[in-house]
Amino acid sequence: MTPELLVQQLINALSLGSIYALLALGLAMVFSVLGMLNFAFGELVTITGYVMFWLVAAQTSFVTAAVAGVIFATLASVLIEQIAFRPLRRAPFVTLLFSSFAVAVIIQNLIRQLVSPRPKGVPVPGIFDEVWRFGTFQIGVLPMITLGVGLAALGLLAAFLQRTSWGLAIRAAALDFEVARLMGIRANRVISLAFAISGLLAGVAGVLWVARRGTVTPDMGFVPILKAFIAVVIGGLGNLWGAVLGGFVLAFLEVTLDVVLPIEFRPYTEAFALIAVVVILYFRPQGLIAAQTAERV
Amino acid sequence: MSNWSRRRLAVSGRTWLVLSLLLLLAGGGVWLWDDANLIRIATNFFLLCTLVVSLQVFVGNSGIVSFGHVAFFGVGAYTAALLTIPPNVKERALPMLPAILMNLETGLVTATLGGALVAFLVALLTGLALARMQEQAMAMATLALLVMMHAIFSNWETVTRGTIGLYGIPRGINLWVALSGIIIIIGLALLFKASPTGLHLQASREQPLAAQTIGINLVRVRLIGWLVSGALMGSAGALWAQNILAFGPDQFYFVETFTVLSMLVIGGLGSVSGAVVGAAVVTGVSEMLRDLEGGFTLGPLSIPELPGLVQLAVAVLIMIILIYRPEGLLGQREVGGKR
Repeated sequence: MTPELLVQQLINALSLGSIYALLALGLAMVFSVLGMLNFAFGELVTITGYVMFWLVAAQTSFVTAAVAGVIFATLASVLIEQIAFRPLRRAPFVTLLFSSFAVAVIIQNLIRQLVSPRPKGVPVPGIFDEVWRFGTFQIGVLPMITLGVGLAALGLLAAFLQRTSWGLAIRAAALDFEVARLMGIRANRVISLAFAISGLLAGVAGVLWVARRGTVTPDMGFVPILKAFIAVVIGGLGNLWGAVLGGFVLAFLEVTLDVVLPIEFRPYTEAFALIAVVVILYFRPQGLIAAQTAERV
Repeated sequence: MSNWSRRRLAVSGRTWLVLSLLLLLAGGGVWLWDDANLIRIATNFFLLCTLVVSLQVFVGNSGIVSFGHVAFFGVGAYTAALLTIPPNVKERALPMLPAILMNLETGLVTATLGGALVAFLVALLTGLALARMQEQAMAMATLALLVMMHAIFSNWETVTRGTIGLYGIPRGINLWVALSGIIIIIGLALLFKASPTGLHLQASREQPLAAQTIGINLVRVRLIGWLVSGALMGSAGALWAQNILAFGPDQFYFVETFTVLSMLVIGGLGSVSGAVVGAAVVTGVSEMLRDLEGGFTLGPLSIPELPGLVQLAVAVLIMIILIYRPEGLLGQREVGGKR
């Protein structure tokens, strides 16, 4: 492989990885605070996509549409928690999982009925398709923007979590929710905040996702939630930075397989990536970074 | 490690008799009514029950959600198709098929057992890794299994004919065969529930740590539950294939996973009878709404196509049931039993 190709693939892997990392972190945020798997998380990406579709169709600039998409995803995330998950606060894991599953199906089918079951195009700015050339190196603009936005979002979130008292509250709740409550942290506020951050991350990832695909469909949330699930499991459940690591590991696996596999095996790239994940998990059932708490009883 | 509990067996036996009798009455009633559409609905309902009951064997006893069982369902269906499609049809549809498979043409029972066997092998391969995981991680990893198998179904063209799908499966199913299938599978599910391994698995569902302290090997009991459930799901898929006659990979994906899981949740995870009840409720709702989905007129009002109405209604039903009856309609209770 030429060094040029290597650099290109490296940037591809990093940009894909930053999307996966955002998604995984959003999912892990809610999981670590509430112990629930939010299946409706993928639908936040869908909501971002459709808000952008409407606004771009109404002649708004792409950036405004993107910001609005992120805001709507954040609000939707908080709202979903209040409507669908708060009444089930004390319910077991499985019940919450199904509840979020049902929410996902409801949102998908509402979009199917109210908008259209068919794909809708979201025109992306022309600059996204351009390529920067440095001598013999060619680097796509979109992967660079994705990487930049992704890393910026992760950095801001890290600063928020590490430097502010709200961030401390979230980290404390993630470590041990009951003890955090005893220390005077308001449960409902922390949970709402976790869902807001989760929605925000889904929104940012959603914008990047739509910029890559250029279309929105009612079931477009399935692939993001799947990647997030897998990344979170690779990284170690209930561990925020493990989720980020898991996202990058998954992206590197996929891009590497895409390069290494012979053409006739290309359709199986995803299957091979998942097999690799299962192998990782066979040797490390707790994920790459196991949660630091003792086993929850 | 421990012996069978005679009391549990007796309770399970009673449940099996009552459930079989109810299903027999339903089947007999439909048969006497002699309406082709009703017989079709009842046959589909019995086949759906086999799926949901097979899924219940793992999810109900272990308390771990599996999004991957529809993959076993697909494995069973493809196996049955390859075993039953006449060689002359295979030569046209699947010219690259290995000679051994090409010339095979087996009957209903062999195809069904074959589906169970292949699904069992897939379950074994995946289960060895999955059963070692923590409960929630395992739930997520089963979703990966679903996607992985879907990729294989849609791309392994020599065997599955890719996204186009297979056709030409001879009809091996009628109302009575479907009824026998569900009665046998319910029997096996109840037998597993009353078995020592089944009880250990239920103990690990309620209190994983306590279960370990009395010497239950979590990985082992979970793996056994996964294998039994996967094999049953494979046989259910094989039966289904011999009724639908032609199918493609997209019939083993997200929508089907949602359908079977929703039936299980609505009926109550912990109960075999609940699986049947859930299947009945969802079938009823779907059949009522299916006509509306295509659009209808209400006086002067003309309602256009409503795509996804059935799914939407089922999802709302799940939300309502979860909020008011978190354990499902039957909870842990079985028909004809005290618990």
